[in-house]
Amino acid sequence: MTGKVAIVAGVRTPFAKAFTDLASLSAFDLALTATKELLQRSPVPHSAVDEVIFGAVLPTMDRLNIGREVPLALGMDSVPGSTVAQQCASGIQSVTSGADRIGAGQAKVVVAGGAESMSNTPVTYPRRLIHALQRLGKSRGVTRKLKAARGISVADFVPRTPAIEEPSTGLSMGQHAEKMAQINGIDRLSQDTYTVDSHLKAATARHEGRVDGDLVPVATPPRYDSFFAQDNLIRADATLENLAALRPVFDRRHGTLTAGNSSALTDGASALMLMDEALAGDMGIEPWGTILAYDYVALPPHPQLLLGPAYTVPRILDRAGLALADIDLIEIHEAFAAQVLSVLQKLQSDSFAREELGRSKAVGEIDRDKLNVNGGSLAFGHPFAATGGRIIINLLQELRRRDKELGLLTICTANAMGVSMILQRR
Amino acid sequence: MVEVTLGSDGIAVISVNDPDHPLNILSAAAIEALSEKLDDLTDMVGPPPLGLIITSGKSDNFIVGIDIKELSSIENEAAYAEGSRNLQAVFGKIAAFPFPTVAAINGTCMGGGMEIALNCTFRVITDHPNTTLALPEVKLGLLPGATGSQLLPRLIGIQAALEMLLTGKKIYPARALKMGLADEIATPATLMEASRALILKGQSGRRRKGPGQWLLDGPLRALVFARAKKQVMKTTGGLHPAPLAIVELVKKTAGVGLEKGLTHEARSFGALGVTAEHQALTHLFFAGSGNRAQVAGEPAVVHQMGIVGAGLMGSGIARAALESGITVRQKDISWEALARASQSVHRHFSGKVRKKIMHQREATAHLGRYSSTTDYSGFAHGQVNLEAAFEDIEIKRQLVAELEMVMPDSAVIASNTSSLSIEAIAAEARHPERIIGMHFFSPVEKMPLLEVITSPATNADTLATAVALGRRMGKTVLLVKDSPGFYVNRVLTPYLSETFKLLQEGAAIEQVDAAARALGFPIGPCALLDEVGLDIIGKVMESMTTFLGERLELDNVVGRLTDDGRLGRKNGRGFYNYSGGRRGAADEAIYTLLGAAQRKKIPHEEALQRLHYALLNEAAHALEEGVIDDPTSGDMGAVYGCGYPPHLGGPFWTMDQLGIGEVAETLGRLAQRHGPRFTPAHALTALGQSGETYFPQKR
Repeated sequence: MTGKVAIVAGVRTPFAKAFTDLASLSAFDLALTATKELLQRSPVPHSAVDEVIFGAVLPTMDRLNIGREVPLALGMDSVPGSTVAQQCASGIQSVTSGADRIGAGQAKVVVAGGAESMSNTPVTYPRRLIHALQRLGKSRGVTRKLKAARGISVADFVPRTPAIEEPSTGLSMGQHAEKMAQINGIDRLSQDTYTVDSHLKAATARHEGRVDGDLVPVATPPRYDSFFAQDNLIRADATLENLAALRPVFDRRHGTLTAGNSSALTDGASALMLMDEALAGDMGIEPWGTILAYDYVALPPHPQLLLGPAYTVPRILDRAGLALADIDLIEIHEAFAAQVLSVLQKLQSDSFAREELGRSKAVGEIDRDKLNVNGGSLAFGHPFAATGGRIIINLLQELRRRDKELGLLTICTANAMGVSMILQRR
Repeated sequence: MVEVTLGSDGIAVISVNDPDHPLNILSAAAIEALSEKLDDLTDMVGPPPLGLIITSGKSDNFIVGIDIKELSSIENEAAYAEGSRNLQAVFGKIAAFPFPTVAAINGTCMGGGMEIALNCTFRVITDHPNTTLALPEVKLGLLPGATGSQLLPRLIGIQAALEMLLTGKKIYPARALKMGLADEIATPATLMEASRALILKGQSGRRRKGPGQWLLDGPLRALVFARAKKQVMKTTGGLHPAPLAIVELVKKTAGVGLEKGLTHEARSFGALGVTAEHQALTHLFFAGSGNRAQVAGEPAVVHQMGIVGAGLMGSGIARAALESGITVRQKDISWEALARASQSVHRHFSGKVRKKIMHQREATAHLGRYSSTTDYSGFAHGQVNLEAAFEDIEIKRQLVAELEMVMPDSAVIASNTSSLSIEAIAAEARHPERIIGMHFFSPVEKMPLLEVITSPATNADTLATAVALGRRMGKTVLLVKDSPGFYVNRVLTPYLSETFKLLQEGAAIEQVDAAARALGFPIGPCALLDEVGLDIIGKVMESMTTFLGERLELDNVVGRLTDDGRLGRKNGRGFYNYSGGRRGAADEAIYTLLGAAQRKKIPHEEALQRLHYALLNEAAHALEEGVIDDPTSGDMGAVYGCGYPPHLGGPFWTMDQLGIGEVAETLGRLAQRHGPRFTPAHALTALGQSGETYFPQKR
């Protein structure tokens, strides 16, 4: 990465709790809506776009490569497109892939986005059933058909939703976060306090107009006669009492994680316009910011699967030659309150630094006044691949409002990875 | 032009390809050539071919019909009938072959082309987006006179045939297959293979009638004819001879032998050929096809159009633009208005998908190009940005100023104004040269006309861009002078004003509307006012009053209705009451509002004449003042924009038919009796005296 890649525009759909306002739109529909609006708001014309890259954790089964389906639906027949998947880093991966293309001189302008519809997850059937049905279709005659059908049971027809279980550990994300809370001693109250804070910051940000400007209102089927225009998960009325009333969901007896202090299943999409910074300069376009550095890490999945940010933050700071204190704003993706608090704890732990990072001293304590200043995924929701775009848009807009220069973002992922990125506004 | 080849598989192929024209039109020469090739096949030495395929050398049309120019030069009834007999004989050669024949149809197949196809044993069509089948003769006041009226009912049954013959509408592939009009759907690439396969299969091509069709074609057919006739009377008021003749002919020839049927067909064709209706409709056909005149200037290719305003017009223009492949950015100050527009756009395309006129993927593509906004984002990308906002000069100037801030200097600003001067709208602009009027009519996707209005400052490239955009959207473009009401509202105003005067004199709303319908207008003036919106018309009348108020004795009473909260259909209250989208009874309260509570019978003939002549006289005035360039444009504008009865050919055509001297005299009498507003235009008096006409006379 060379620091030559500028972000010149960004939009996202409002985020909706799964099975609510955006339920009848697929990830493709959401990606199309966001991209269409991005192209309108972009300072460069449609015809300048060289490539489209979309991140998606869950596939849209009838349009597997939404990165190409989007330009096709927009009449941009000559624009290649791809779809990338790296769990919750997918939305950042589309950006770094686009940035790499530009950095390598392969493209000048790239649309990078992420889209997820948790209301439309693909369902599957057992292999035994599918294979039997295939045999059934091929065989001729009643006896052969009967023979082919043998062994199919009624239970096989019950559809399966995608595994939420981490294959390498056999635990779900929530169970891992629960484990992290237990190991790191993060109690229920601190998780709930953190969550209330996230909601109230988001509610304030929205109230003060720091959110809606980057949203694209979505006309929703079947009648398309109203626009869904605001995130619907933010709770301005969140209180500790409300949250205390919720029951643990991942460890029902001794657990501390609830539906409240965990991010919700969410539908949404985001899209960014990346371009060669020199070209932007030539065209007289003032970028929102540039990408200074990015970093991906992987760690042992057991037991602290979601601790990636604690590993990647020191690496990216080193790479950029910066100290934590140099950073003006920090965004840590909030999969679970317990996970964010675990990461914060590890970053200021000397023993973690020594044992896990091979460093003599802790990375440092993150100034809470710089952290997720407009709330995070606990409040906005988390449409997996769309979250990266939301964070980048928010970070750059907030740097502009505060007239600050450097922003750092980091996201934990399933499969035990972490990603971070430093954005610079000048 | 007509090639015949005999393949090694023993199948002959006739390919029609007019090298001088993008469409295959059956000129006399082409028919002669086809006839010779068909004879060659009959007279061939050696074994006869296994079969014959008739196809087109074009990539998007089969044969679009016979040459209307040649048709219109035929002199009299006997000659029309003879022309019909000749074509029947040529096409009949196809049916007479002892081997199977296939019409391999890729693209438009109409009129004579359809009749050739009907003479084949089989019809194979493609899924090409241009593939449609139609017998549109009725639209020219004719009927299919080259076997079509006889073979179609025999192929698809009387009921379906009458539908096609009476509406002239296009049948799309899926429906064509279902109704038995086509035997198979192939792709353009497999068309010839599929046609060959049908021949080699050796089937008869005759299809078995289902019990339903057997009943409708047999014992119940009297019912079918009665219903068709009722429908014709309902839609045309019995004013058009062609639909009635079609019902009569099919009825008379149902169940008789083909030879006898063809004799009747030729006779009916001859009779329709000399009707005033056919002449008038042919005149309009040429007026429309002659509307391809080039304008100087270099048109910009429009990829994106910004539309300010998401009301009735704004959303209508959006639908039409999207459908012609243009990206649309719609802006309004309210998301509620944008939501209504969004709904109308989605409903428009999903309706087309439901009717199978459009594939889902096309609809998705059109909708993919539509977006909504409350700010001007995206307007920098539009080659043309159009305002369809409220009719207020200050608002329009403000919009122009705002658009100029966000748009590159080269892009065009169009105004959909119906009552304001383009020059006035452009008065404070930094670049008045790129400002132009594009006046669409509602409902935009159905109304075929677009008035394009230049101000003195408008440059040639802007004009060229607007004209090209309008044509791309499928509109007939009328270039009009920047004067109040432009052309369409200009000629409508005296007609509508006369409506108010009739009501004030005591006529009933229903009576006035009935008079206009008796003339052939699709709806009466009161219903029209409700449809267009009384607020809109109020603005138009207002702008006309200062300009022509005295001559037209205009008394703008529309304000009394709008002050009473009556906007027409859009708010359910106008001359009529509306409930659930349906027009109900006339509202008696109108009479009080207009200050004429007493009802008095006004003779039907008088009402009809006053309405008609008010419009005719104003058309003459408009031409005289150079609002339009020529009488042809005036006829087109009146028919496509005002709903002037097409079978009358337009106001100028009508005046020629009535005799201009007589028209001037009648106007003089009306002026004496009803007021100086009927004083004939100078041009009418002058033409009446010199005996000249607006159009060169045929006979």
